[in-house]
Amino acid sequence: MTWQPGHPVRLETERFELRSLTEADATERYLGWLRDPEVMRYVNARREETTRDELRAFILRHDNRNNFLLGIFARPGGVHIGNLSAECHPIHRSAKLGVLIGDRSYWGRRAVLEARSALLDFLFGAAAMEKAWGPCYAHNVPALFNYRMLGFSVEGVQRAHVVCDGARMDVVNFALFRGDWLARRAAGGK
Amino acid sequence: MSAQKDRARTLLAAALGVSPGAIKDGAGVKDFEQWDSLGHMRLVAAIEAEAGMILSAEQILALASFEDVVNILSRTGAE
Repeated sequence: MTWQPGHPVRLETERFELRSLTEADATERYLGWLRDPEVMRYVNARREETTRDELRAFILRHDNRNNFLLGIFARPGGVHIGNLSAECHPIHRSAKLGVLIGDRSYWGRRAVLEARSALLDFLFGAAAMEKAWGPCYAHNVPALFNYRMLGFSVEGVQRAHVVCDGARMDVVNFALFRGDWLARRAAGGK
Repeated sequence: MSAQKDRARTLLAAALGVSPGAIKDGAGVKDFEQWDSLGHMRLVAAIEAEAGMILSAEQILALASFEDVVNILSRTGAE
């Protein structure tokens, strides 16, 4: 793909278009996800009171240089179903990943696997990252499953690091290196 | 062990929404389109209910095949 730092990113998969969010994507639909306790259960933020202006400001903080916030849009139709994020460290060339599938009808449909694969291709390709990593609440079963299915390894566990459902919970840190991802792709892995 | 395998087969089949007969020995996560993140979540919930305990992240990550389900049920003493 052709991409210049600071310019919007656009990626395509079989079922989705992934593109950098803009102010216009700060919709009621998106705000609704932030008010859905099931969607936000394992997210490190409580945004029930987020206003549309605050959401616009949040989107604009992503510069498409080191911070990416890509919407996942179903094809065809362009319905916004969730987001992927990546915070890239330009010196260490590592990218911290995040994901939110707000449209519950897409849960359990391998949307994260498909979309994150495209993001990893971008991060290890055009964005020249060497490592992708992500924290995961220890009982966030879908997230554990998705990291493992994409070949991520457990790097460590932060004990009782967060509060979830009223109790302290471990956070598992996953990581994937560029060489491992490229080898997986070369072997036909998704 | 046979009873354990039957129980594991039933649990896994219910989690994936397939018939128990579709769960062959040696079957793994890549053999079922239905073994996705939600299927995995249902499987973990079923094992936790059966065993009366919360699985650790390590145990959740280790579940990738029918045999893994049999083993974890054996280790947790679920009957």
